[in-house]
Amino acid sequence: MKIKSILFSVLLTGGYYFLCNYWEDIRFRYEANQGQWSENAMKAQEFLYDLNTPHYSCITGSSLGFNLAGNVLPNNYFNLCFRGQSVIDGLELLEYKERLPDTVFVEINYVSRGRSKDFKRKIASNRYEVNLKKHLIFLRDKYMPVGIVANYMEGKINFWRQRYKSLTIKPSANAPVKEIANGLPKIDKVREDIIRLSVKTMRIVPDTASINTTFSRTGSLLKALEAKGVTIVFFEMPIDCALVNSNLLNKNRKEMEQRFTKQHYFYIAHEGCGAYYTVDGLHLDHESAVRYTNYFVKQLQTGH
Amino acid sequence: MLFTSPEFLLLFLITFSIYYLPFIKQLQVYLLIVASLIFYAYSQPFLLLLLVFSIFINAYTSYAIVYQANVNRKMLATAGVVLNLAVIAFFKYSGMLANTLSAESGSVGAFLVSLPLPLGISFFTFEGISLLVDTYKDKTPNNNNSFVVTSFRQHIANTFLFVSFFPHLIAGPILKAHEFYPQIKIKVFARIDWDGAFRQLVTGYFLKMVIADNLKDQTFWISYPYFLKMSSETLLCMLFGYSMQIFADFAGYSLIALGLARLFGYELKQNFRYPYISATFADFWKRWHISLSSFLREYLYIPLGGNRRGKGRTYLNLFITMFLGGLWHGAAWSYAIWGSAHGLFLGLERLTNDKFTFNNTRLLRIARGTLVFTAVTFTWLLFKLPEFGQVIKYVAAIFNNYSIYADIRKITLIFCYSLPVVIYHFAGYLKEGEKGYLIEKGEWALYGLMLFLLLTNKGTSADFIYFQF
Repeated sequence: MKIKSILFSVLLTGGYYFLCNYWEDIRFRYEANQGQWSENAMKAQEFLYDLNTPHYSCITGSSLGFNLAGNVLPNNYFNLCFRGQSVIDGLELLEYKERLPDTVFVEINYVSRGRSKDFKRKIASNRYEVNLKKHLIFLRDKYMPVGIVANYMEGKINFWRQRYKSLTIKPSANAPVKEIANGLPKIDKVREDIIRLSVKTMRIVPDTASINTTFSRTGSLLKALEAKGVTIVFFEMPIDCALVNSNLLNKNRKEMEQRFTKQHYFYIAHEGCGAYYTVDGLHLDHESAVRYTNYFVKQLQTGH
Repeated sequence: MLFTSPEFLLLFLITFSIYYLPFIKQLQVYLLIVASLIFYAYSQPFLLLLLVFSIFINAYTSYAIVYQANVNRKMLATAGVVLNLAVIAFFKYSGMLANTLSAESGSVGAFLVSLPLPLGISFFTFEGISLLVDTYKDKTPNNNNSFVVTSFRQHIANTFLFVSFFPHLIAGPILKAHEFYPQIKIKVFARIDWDGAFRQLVTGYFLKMVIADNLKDQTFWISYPYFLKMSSETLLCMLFGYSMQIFADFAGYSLIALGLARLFGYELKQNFRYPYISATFADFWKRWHISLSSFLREYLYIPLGGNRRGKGRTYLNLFITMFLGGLWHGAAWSYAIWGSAHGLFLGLERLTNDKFTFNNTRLLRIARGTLVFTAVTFTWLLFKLPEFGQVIKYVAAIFNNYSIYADIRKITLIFCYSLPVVIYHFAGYLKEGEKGYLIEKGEWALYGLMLFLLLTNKGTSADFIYFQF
């Protein structure tokens, strides 16, 4: 039984190798996007294996920077911000990249969050694994078979939902949706709850030892890039006014500015907290994300 | 150290490659002890002292119970059990008590809240209790000689292995002394049950790495206040997914533990037996976390009087046992509520069975099975959400959010990753009936498929849910 099972799994793996390499539907049409962690992994692998532009810049950061509008950013900009993660995760990936970017943009809002061990282990625990996944593409997250099947099913269900609209449930008045009143967003109850919770959690600053470890690691990664001729630019994503001066963010700003002084490094100017709308106090909604990305690009053209 | 980590793989390979060497055979027990201590110390080196202290105390007390003359054996056994309970109470529950009494602002309270929770404390203290009670009651099979050997040094080594044997050290299954000690002897390579170990390891790793680790990304959103914005269908599916995840995570871990122990010549008792096909709550507890439920039955429910002291007392005993079983899971009142709910279910079920007689039709079994599954699944919310108020809000959202669009992606993913757990239970149902041969014929294909998915579809690794207990 054991031998038969192992041989069968080898057969399946071989078959899947050919499907992923030679069947265009799997290679290009479907992807196993399973939510934010899977999206992070796929993005990291796309950056490691598929980005071959000779000159490019990349943006590192958390889910805040993740929301920057891709269609507004210049074509040779790669957004390496990961949802639920931190700057370090993006910077560590650069260690595996042969061709380094010209400029690295660093979102400073959540630097103190530290690296994700699980992410590092999943994407690139060592160079051998990176090389293995370079050649055996079916080992990448984009090609996870169950994710692809689910993605296919989702497409079919949505197709049938569209076709039989009478069966589709419409959002009702009590659904928490964003409404506009007098040109200003009307805050819904859930959003308020989330912001209140964030106010509470962002009062807490990690202990000094962990702050030192995280910022030292970030600092050494950035200095190493700088030594190789990469330009470093810092920016802070706009968030809700209730959170902008939280202990956590003040600490992040202070630590960053101590290590990378404004006299020597370019910081994209902050526009203030009231100019944009966030869905939960931290993350910009689409419209605001587009507006801020335009501002971001404009600042680069004028100040950098 | 996670069973799924490269560090563990290295430790296992080194230990296994040395273990069966002919010149090592007298030292097999010591080799496993060293490997187990490295396994434990890797995550919490400073708390290794607590584990060693606990083992020494239990080894000494159990030895004294059997061999020390002029000693009150009952008193000694009781003192040992109380000491074990004191250790677990101090490290696990004093923080909760300080929080409950709002004493965390004081220096003592702050100290109690800041105490680290030693990994596996609930497991190794319970095993210590089992050793003392079994020694006192002398539960050796066939009532031959006691399993406590005459050499104190050897007894210490045996106790070290019993408590710290790495496959079960951190998250069980909880071993019973009278079942494990008789197995401690020299092991031979030729007697390894490769087939059994292969089945357990492949199924265990598949359940953990493919099912639980992928489902966790979908059920992550069962957290306040994010779930408030989700549709009723999505909330129900996430809850169903969490039920599947917690099973896959814990049963997966247990199967890996059983498979690893088997490779070293030890047979640990099955910890899960298709729990979601249970048609009664009593049956559920004979199938879910069997090592804990049988421990509670043997060492708590029966000593409390079991069902021997009248109906009213039986209901009360069931409730007390489950309440304490709930608290065993964690230092939070939500676990106590979870245990109480199960105590209530068991009591009500027994009361109903005492009052009424039912025809055991298939339809009735399906209806009861659905009821048990639904109740069990809803009570898992108490595991996932830290506050009871949030649980209420989640249930309220299920009823209120029917008009929001369903998250089809999440629902299809939960469906796809839950399906293997459903199939696993269906296969179990067939195996327990007379149609097991249908599964056995195609087993090789199922194991082959699981191996393929382990290679191509594993999720981001995370701690096992039961590590926190």
